[in-house]
Amino acid sequence: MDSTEKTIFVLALIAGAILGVILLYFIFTIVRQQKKTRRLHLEKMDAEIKALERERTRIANDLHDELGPLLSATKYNINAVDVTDSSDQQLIDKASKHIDDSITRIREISFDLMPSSLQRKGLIVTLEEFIPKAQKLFPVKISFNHRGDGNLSNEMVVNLYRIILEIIHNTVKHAQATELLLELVITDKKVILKTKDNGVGFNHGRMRSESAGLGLKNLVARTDVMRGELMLDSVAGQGTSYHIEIPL
Amino acid sequence: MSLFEVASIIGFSIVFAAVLGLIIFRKIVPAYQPFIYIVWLGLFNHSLSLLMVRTTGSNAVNGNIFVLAEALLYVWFFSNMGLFSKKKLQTPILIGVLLTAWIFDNLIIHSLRTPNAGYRIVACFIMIFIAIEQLISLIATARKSLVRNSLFIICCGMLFYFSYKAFIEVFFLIEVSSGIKLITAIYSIFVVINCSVNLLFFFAVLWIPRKKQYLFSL
Repeated sequence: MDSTEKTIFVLALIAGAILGVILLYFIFTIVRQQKKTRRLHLEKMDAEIKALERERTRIANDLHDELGPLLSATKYNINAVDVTDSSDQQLIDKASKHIDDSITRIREISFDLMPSSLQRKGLIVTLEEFIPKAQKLFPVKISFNHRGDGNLSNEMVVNLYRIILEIIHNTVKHAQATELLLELVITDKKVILKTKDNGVGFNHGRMRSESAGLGLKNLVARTDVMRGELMLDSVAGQGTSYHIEIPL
Repeated sequence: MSLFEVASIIGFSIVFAAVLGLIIFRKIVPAYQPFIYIVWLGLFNHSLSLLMVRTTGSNAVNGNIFVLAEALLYVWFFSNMGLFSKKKLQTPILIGVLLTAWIFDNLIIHSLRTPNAGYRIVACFIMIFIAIEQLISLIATARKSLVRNSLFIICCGMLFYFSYKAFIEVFFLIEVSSGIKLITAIYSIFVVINCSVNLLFFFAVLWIPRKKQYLFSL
């Protein structure tokens, strides 16, 4: 190489080095920005879920602790009225029956919003109480197996409960399954939730290209706030499996 | 050892990614398969280039066809990744631009038998823009750390590879005919970049999501 060519080569080397530094800086900025965006997103989701659960708990408590006793008192007062006319007595009996139905319905709504047993008795007992009720309501056979009984935080218990409810709901509403297997394993290090249904399944590609349902986004959001991983295996016509792992 | 021999040996660094791709091909999420085709195509073209140089003295023909096939496979791959899902016309437009530029440069202006830098520079810029678009999109959509994200590694590799390729091709475009030694020296920079990107692609293939462990990303 003559001196001009050497100068061109040195200039090319310098230009190449500058290009490399710019590209590296760009990539590091992307990584840093993604971490920041991810953290903010998780904080936002966490705050939204906590606010939602707080509001549900408040409404459930108000219904159960305030409206329930009020209706009971009303029923007691109505029944205390002394009537001689048989048609009046029939009216009172009818009103009393309506109040009983209202109290039962309020308990159900309160349980759906936030089961009181969830915090008092824990996740496993609440699920064991809920699953027979769900089987009466929906045409699906649910098999629930569990192992381990670690000390889970209240937030985690509520999130896992909501995830399981959402999976049952999806199985009944979308998968058209007749059987659902639920397995919950709690170890010292992680919680593993595995589910499998015999429903119609769905296509990953189509699910990705179309906007995914709100229920599925809820599952992902709740798994994310617990820093967990959600793995989904579904093939059209061959059922759907969820595998969720939450570190403790 | 001459630069040609060094470049020939270093070029085979793509074999690691290619062999790994062969092993895991059936286990990966199908949307990633075009990337494995790109890796295999790279290895095939490198082997063919060596053969062509030894037999005919030039790898221009297969090189010109390779750069078109490679760019089209990248468009297919990123289309699978959902990069163009919101603008339905983007994929056909990109394919149209690539094909037009290739035909114009390789069949109309120049011959297929000469290494034509014009199309290669256009393709490099398109690939760089695609990689940047995908990287920006990953900031909002990636649920885990990017360091082990296959798509992120592929985009980084593309960014380095095509930036330096465009940089080198400029020297071929202006035909610094008097300085073959200069061209050879500048090409040596690209040999190092190519080897680094081939090794980066090994990790990209290694961390491609598997079918059974499909991480649902919304």
